[in-house]
Amino acid sequence: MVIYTVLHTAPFLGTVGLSFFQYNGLTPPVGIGVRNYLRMLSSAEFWQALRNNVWWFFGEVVVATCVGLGLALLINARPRMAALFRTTLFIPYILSWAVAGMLWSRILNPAPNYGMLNAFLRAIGHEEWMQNWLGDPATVLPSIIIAAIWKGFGFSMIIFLAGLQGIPAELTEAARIDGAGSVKVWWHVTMPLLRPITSIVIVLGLIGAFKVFDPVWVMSQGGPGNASSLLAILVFREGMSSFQLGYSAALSVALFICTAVVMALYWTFLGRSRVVGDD
Amino acid sequence: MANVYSRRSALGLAAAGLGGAALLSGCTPDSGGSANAVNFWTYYEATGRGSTFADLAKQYEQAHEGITVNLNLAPQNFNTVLRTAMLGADRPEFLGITQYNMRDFAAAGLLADVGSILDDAGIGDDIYPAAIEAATLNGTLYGIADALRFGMWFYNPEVFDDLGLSQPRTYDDLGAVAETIRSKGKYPILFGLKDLNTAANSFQVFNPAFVGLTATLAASEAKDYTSQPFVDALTMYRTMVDDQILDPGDTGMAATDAQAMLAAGDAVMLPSASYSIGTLQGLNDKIGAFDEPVRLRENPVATYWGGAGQMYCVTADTVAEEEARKLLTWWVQPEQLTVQVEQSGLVSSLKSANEKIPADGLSEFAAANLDKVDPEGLFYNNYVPSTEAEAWGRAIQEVVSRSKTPEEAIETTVQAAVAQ
Repeated sequence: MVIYTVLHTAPFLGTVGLSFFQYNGLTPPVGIGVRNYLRMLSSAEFWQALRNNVWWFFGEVVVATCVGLGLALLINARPRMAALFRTTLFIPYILSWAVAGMLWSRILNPAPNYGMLNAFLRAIGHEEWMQNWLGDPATVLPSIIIAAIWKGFGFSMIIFLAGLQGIPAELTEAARIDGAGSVKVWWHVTMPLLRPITSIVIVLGLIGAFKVFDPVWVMSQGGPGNASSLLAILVFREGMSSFQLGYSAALSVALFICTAVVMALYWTFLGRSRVVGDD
Repeated sequence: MANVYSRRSALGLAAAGLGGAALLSGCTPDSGGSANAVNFWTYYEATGRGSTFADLAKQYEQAHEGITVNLNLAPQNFNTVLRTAMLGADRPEFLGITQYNMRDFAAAGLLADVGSILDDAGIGDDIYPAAIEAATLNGTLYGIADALRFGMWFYNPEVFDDLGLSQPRTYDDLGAVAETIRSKGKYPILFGLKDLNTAANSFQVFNPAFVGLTATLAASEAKDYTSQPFVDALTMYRTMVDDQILDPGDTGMAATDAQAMLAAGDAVMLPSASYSIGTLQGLNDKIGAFDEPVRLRENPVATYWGGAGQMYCVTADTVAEEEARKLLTWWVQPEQLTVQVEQSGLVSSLKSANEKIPADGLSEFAAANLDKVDPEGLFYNNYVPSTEAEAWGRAIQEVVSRSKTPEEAIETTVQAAVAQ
């Protein structure tokens, strides 16, 4: 408890306190009341970053969950070579973002001689589809999200696979004996039983969506301009690059509040899932 | 499970947390360490510009019995780690830092006046005045620059020869050259604007032609970058994009991509400064530089740009301050700076060291032209807070990617960062 208090509670309270100061890390901090928060709320960058975080959730978490679920169903339905597919598809998840980011930066380089995606598009005769994937505000966030989906679906796949393998075979067999087809079995038996797992995957993803930093930092540094900035990017940039530690602390508190709201959802979902699971 | 924490334990926890926070925030600068050990931190890397530092430190230790030099070359997150260290008990006594950090530390009273070291080291007449100017704040010298940088318009001579091109001197020439290059499927100019640092540094090419240092400093002081010269400088990026001289795809490429493409001949020009010589020649030893930069407008405020390199500074009020001053006195003498220049491709801040630069190389060209950089062409981002330089980098990305007009980018990105 003492260790937790010193290492968690004290820095957290220190951050909250710091958010009421102007502090560059060198000269003594100056108390400025809630000005950091007012600045944050009136900042277009902050709202854009928050919107980007929400997009990140819908883009990465929802899609990666659906892809992971689909792959888990496929692998579960065909046990032959399941271990090979499971391992292969899980590998991106264990890669460091430093490595994955470099890989995807290479893929998405706009020069067709260097970027594999544009080279492919040119090779198949669709030069008009070539884009400045990481350098255009319209494509940068979707591009990074796709990289994150590629890297992230392995996690949900493994969790869903574990859930699927925990469903008693007699339940699905009973449904089939009652005349249910594959789709009906999936919809009325498998999915309800996977609901607790689905809730956990989605809510964990939602929490993660507000903490995302490394993929964006490695691939675009939040640019061009602020087009791909997320809250965690703003926290880092203001604190560690601009050395506006008070403002960075205010952004951190906002990030905490967002995550806390999501945690409340987590508890709500988890509670409901237990009820469903207990049924 | 409902009552794991009683009100009393929750209050106790909060009190302990507050106590811990107070304890953590109560840490005050208090230099510890030994009077005989000098901790030397630099942002140069051991495999790059700092490759000679270990040998030099060893030489110094051998010549000064009982003195230890503890080198810390380019730790991860150097600026953050350094700032944290400068506030703690273990602050390094001898620093190799950027001009921006030097100014911040000096303003916070963390650096010693090193004016007397010019005479002690016997380099008062040898050092370029620009190196002194760059390290002087309110009449006090806080650092000694190891190197000077000269703005250079790098190009790939093999592509120029293949295409029968000659060096462009005006913007119209540049347009004609770019058209030929583009017709061969190559990029006329690439900076690597995906990297914020590179984007910010690219403004060093445009700023002297349209704004100049005097107006930049005034704008930074007034926190108002909305005047026409800044709009014009940013508009130049857009004009170059519209004229297909600068590709909007530049915002999707890292600086290393741009350098590799220049070396491979897929890109043909890269305006930068002499700090890129080592990297570019390492990729392709035939890379050259125009004998003068392309004039982007009829009457530029300044044609040549450049500035100071790493600043060697001494931390004030440490137990090893005296030893750090002695180390600085030794470290900036011609013998030592010459070794650094020979190994790194840098252009020294000492005239005598530059005489040792091998002939016919880009470094020699840069050294020979250093005096062309007038005060209006000095690196703007050596003089403004990094927040402002970074904001310019982001504004440039927005303009080149056509997501904002120059006016919008200045108003919503640059002004938003400076008006705090």
